[in-house]
Amino acid sequence: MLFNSLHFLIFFIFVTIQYFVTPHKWRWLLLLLASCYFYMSFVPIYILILGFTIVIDYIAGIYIENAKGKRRKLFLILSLIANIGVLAVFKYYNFLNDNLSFLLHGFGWKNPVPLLEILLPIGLSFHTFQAMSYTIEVYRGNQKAERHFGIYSLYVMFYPQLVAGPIERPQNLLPQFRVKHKFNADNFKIGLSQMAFGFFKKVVIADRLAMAVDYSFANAENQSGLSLAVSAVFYSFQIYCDFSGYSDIAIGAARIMGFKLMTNFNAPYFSRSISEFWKRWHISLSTWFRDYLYFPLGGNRMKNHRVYFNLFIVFLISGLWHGANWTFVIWGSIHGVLMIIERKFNTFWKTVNRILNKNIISLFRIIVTFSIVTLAWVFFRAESSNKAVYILHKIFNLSLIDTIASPLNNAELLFSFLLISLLMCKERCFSYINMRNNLVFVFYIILISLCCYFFGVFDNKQFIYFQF
Amino acid sequence: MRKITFAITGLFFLVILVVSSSNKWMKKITQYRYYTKNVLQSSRLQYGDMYWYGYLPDFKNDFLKEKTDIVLDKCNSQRLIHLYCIGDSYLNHPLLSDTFFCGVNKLIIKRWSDDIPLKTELDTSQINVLLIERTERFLRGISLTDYLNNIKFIRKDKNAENDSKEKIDESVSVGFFTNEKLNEIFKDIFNKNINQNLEFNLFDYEIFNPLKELKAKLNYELFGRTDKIVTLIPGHPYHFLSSTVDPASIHSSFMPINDEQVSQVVATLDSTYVYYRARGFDEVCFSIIPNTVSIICPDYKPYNNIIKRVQDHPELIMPMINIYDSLKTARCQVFYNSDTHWNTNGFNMWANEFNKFLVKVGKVKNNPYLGRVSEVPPYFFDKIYEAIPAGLLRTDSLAIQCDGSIDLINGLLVKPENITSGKLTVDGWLAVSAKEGIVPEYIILTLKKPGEPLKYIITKRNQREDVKLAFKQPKLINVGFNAIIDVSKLNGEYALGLAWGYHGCLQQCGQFNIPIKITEYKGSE
Repeated sequence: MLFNSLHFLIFFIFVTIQYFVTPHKWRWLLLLLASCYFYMSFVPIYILILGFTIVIDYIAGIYIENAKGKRRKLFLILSLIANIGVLAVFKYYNFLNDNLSFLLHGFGWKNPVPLLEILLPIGLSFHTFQAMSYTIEVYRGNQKAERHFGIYSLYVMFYPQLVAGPIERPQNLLPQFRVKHKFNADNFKIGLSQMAFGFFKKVVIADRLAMAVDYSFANAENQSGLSLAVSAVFYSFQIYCDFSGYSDIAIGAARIMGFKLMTNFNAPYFSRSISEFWKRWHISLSTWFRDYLYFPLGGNRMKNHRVYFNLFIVFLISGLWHGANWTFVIWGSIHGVLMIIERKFNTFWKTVNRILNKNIISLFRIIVTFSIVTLAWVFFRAESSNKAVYILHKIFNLSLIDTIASPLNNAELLFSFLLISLLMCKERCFSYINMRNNLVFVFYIILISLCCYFFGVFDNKQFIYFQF
Repeated sequence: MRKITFAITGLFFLVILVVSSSNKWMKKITQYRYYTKNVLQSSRLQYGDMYWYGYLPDFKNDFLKEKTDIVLDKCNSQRLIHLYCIGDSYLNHPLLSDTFFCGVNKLIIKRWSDDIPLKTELDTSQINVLLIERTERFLRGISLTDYLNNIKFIRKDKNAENDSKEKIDESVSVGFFTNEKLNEIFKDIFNKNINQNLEFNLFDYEIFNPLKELKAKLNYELFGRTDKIVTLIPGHPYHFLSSTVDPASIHSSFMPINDEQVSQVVATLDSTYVYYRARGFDEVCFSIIPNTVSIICPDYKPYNNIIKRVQDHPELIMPMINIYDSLKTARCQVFYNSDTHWNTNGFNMWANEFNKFLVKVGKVKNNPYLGRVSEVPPYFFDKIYEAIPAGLLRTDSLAIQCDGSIDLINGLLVKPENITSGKLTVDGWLAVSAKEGIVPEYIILTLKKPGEPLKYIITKRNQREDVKLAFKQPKLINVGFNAIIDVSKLNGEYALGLAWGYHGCLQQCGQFNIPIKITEYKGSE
């Protein structure tokens, strides 16, 4: 069930209304059933995998809490192995096997291990990470083990954020399932307006840009350098609008029911550095890696070379988290290297900032950061690393003579740039709109709804991050 | 009060969800809303399916105002035909009834979209004709089983077993649960068409059309875009189905197709023909309905010409109802400009073309044993194969003693001295095991001449009450066969043999080796 579908809209209205009608003690059951239905509407059988990790982590949480000393660690490790094992089988098995075949082929041997014909369960990396954060927090003593199996299941399966985050922490989400939420007009208005803007970002901007991007990346050979450069920029905004649109809908949908999920994006393309970008982009994942990988590795309290190593490892794994493909590994590595370089020249930037006009230098840094992020996205989007290199090569040999080939006509290309400008303008100048004011709220909802209806691209395009 | 309002609203949305999920309910609702004349009527059938997708106001036809009269050619045939049709929406016409076609007294239609095969028992006292209607866009990429799984043959005797092939087909339906009913419920709950169903139930009303038209017009005028299902070609006032125009789509008229692929399509059609003839149909025919774009603007991109290439293929034995030429040369509009389908003119032309075929079938069936080869239309003969059609049976094994008999040759109990009419008819019966009541899937005649490859004739099936009674095996009612063979091109001494096909194997029967002398037919006798 895609968020940008009529099915979701009706489902959401029904579940939300039912949520407020249902007595508090049964609300967890309603949400759990709704979440099961939501997840099963993609590929029903994969509910079993989700069920497996839920049972393992539920038991592990209780055992970790009850155990002492080394046994605590043992139960944590067992739970992590189960979670990572599921990820390894469904997400990385074929990737590793492919690479093994490639290696063995180099020695003239044949790989005897067969490939698995399996589909990647939707949102596997998201709910696995959310489940892992629970057992880690219980182990650290920051979270009490949840004894109510239904509520724990709901923590992993809560439908708004089940398939593409935000990856929640148990301390934030679990207690909210026990709170008796009453219908609140402010929550309704704030949540609905956030959902509406999420829909707008997805169906009006992301899916429109996707038409040009998909075409360019699929036919890179017939595209001019300029056309590919435009497509790369479009992809930056497509992925942003697609993913942040999803997060907005998720956060908004939860908010209407009274749940407050963590912010996942904060105008990332206004970042002045890569490190700032990662503080604004997919915040729930970057903080997950920070808390559960970077800090345990020693963080930045170590010597420089060790900090660089930690940074690189974190971004490498972050790349791999996104997908079992070398393109993601390279994309993660690029960000890792950029973080290291940025850290190394930190003092230089501080000096430049002091000397030059702050506004000019800020703008310059925003443009440079955006350009670098955009070029790195090429690896993220391309089917293979070779193709990504080919596209980048063409982009750097900008040929202005070639025509821009695109399924969008000139008017729609201009319209796309206008939409991007409007988005940036909204994020910069109108990041907060007072939705508590009824007039503003009604006007905003009508305007967004009309834009979505008249200019939305409704071809049931999946959210990009569903594949992770 | 607030809680009650919430509960009622919630209930309303639940009902909408449940109804839109249920295939059974949706079938009923669509049937009602397609044909009703009140405010609930869907725009799909009222204004055309392409309008329904694109909502461009310039392509809005009100079909309710269109004339539906059909002028059929005169027909004097006796109504002896049971016509079975495997087809789609092209066969939808308000006038279509049991007696619509020439010589037909019973019309049974099975839609491609129906999941369940048509269960039928052929009435051998009637002429059983099968029409397979397929649109050009669905001609490629269709496997033999897709054609064969449409009809399930049931026997008169309830104890009789069905063909093994059909048993296999039944076992194919695998779902989440082993119980079929649970699977149905499960399919409903996670209905893949729910978005279309919800759209249909909530927004497919006349009242919403102005808004949809405004959106469509805005997007078309500003961005030159229509719904992705619809394509407009400049200079042609028609909506075309995008999949038929896009050369990258297998449904397209412009996707290149090489000779080998055409031969594959032909081989599939031939095997389909043999299969249904072997199961008792007196005649089987095929009709390809052209894509609108193939008729209206085949020059838009290089046309693959698949219809002509299949119809004119030298290997093709399946009789074809050729509508392509008639539509191509028609002087009136034959397709709607807001719909994928032909209009009444197009349907009328097709019906007349098909009737010509039915007239021929009716005439020959009246007495197929009489007359010389030149008096029988070529399509009525059972084809002589140099090899068994691909995909049906494996190669020969050693000959064995079989249970069966060749009763009549050219209608006579004794073997004819010399066949001079150019026509050989053979009647008889054959079982895999008469004692166990095992009926073969195919009964095949063979013609052997020293120095020449063995020739095969796949016979048609008929019922043998006498064999059933003699062996006290109800299943044996279906062991009868007959064949009409054009031997006008053969000359010399042959040995007539018999073989059966069962579980994918061909088994020669050693005891049948009847010498017959065939004299080349000169046409003067």
